[in-house]
Amino acid sequence: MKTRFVGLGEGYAALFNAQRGGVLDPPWLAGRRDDAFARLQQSGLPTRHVEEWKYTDISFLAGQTPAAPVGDAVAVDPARLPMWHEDDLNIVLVDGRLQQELSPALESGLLEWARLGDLGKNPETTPVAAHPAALLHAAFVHDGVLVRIPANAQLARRVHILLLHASLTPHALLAPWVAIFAGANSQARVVITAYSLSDAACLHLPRVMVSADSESNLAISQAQLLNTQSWQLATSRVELQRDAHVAHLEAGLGAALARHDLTAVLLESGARVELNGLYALDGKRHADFHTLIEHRQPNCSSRQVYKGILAGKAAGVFNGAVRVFPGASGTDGYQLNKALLMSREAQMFSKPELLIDNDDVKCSHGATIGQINPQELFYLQSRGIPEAQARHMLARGFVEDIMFQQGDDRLRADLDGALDRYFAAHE
Amino acid sequence: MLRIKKLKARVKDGPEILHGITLTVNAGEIHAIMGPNGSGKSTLARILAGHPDYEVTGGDVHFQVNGEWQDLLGMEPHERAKAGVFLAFQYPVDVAGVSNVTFLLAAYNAIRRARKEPEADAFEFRELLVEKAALIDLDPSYLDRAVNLDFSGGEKKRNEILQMAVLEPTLAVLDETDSGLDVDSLRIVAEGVNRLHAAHRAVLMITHYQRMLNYITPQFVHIMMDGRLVRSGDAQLAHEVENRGYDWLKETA
Repeated sequence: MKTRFVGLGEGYAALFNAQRGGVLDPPWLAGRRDDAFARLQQSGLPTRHVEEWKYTDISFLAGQTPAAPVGDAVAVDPARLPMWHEDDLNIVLVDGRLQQELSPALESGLLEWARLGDLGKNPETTPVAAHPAALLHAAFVHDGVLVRIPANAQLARRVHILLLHASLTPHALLAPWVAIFAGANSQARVVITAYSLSDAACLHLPRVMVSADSESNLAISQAQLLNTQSWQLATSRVELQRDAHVAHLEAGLGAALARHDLTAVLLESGARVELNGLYALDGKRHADFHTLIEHRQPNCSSRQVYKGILAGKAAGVFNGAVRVFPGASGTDGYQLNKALLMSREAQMFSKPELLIDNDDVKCSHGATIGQINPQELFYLQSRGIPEAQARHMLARGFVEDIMFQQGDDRLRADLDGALDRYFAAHE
Repeated sequence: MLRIKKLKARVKDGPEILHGITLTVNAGEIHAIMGPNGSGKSTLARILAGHPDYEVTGGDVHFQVNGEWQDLLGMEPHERAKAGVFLAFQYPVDVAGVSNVTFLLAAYNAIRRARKEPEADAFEFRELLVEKAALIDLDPSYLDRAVNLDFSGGEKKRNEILQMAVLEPTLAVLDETDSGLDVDSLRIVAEGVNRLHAAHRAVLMITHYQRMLNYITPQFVHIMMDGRLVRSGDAQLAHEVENRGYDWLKETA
């Protein structure tokens, strides 16, 4: 008999009990937390014998002893962060907790906001999914921020939410919650960056909820720049109302193991969503991107392009599901997943899933796994560029189109900086 | 400047293509190698640049760098470029996601570093590029486009000449740079070659037709057939080939 789930170690119960009854615990949140932990204790964590986790093993986490991020931490001086821009609307969470004094955006008057613990009810309308990352987050969430972009507002400045990992405690468990509500006909650009200041391994369990009201236009970017010891299990849910448009970009450039389950729900007709991703892995690092797009109503479109650079013995997983509901005629769905293998031992697992319950749809998908083209490499070398640099230029070129998707030069420059560091580690 | 001795080569794991080429090119000279399709002209050009698809099976090639003779075949492709060799490709390669300016700045600075000259910053380099692009009638918008991607045949060849003009090699090897060019492009490309040509530089042109030689006058013309140089002469030889074809040389070879 294959073991499909392993029970959570006692460390989780100890941490859960220690954190119960904290100050930021309105009744709805406490109830949700107790419920999630009870479910988690019952289910345990999946092994690779569970289909959804076939390529990504998180069962080892069950035996770890997660810690509260208390004790020593790296001092946080946001202005010194590589991706800090003074004139963004900056909101900072450190080790899962909102830092108002480091978050001038909250006083800007341009946004409405609330601390999660101050809310009278759950900002999410859907119950916690039977998913280990969602349950872990719900059981261990400490704090979070809800940002509301007022209806008709056109935010000229970017909103930058920084999820900083500063704790020096090994295996610190961090579970920040970010909710973004964009009012009708609003327009905004939001970047969410997870970044490690600490070299200690943490277990990062962020949850991002985005709700785009009718005719809103959002660019949401999630950059994962954790240290390469850490583990991330992220869940995100993006909901779109009538004629809303969300361009989502994620960049997975850090962590030893990162899994992201990203669901986009096209709730009303005319909604459009783009999910783009880029990632770069080396060593024995592993990244798993699970996307699900639900076309629930007619005449919605979705487009997703994920591209990864895999070096060393790294492994990438892309599982992209598109679900078209019976009434969703006129659906237009497109999915492309490309991987560039920089070494013989690197691996990519790609699995598209089209679940279509309607005849009047246009859905296509494609996947390619390739290597550096030797003719391109020689061309660059023949102009004086050494092989390693030429390979890096070509790999950088491979993700170039993704970098441009958000039309955000600042983000692109920041991601380029992170990619430069990635390539520099291979010279 | 370039000494090729009894060079034999083949496509990796394939039959031998070059059966012993001997050729000396001195500084200041322009040489043309002509010959029918499949004679091995392009193979020679690619081997000089270090193309990975080919394998040298005999002979040697030496190249003079700052007065010193060096073993060209022992160098990596990028080292050959730094030593002053430039190959204008017969089929320039598209490189998606890498802009012309990014590519050329990386190449320019790699070569500057090797020459112990200060590197250029992106801003001053762009000025240089715009100036050089104007000389070959290439719209500056091409500088920000991906290398050769969706360029027409003539634009690709002009882009090769732009690269040559920027990198200022001492030996320019032009592999059928004239093929597929309209008259205007041919003139522009030839002017680019003539502008570069100087007493301390040499040009080795691989060509199928004589028409390029109406714009660039070589001192030496060599005819390659079946992997061998079967005849050498002056520019007059090119005209003879133009009039009589190659077959008459086969009999004398």
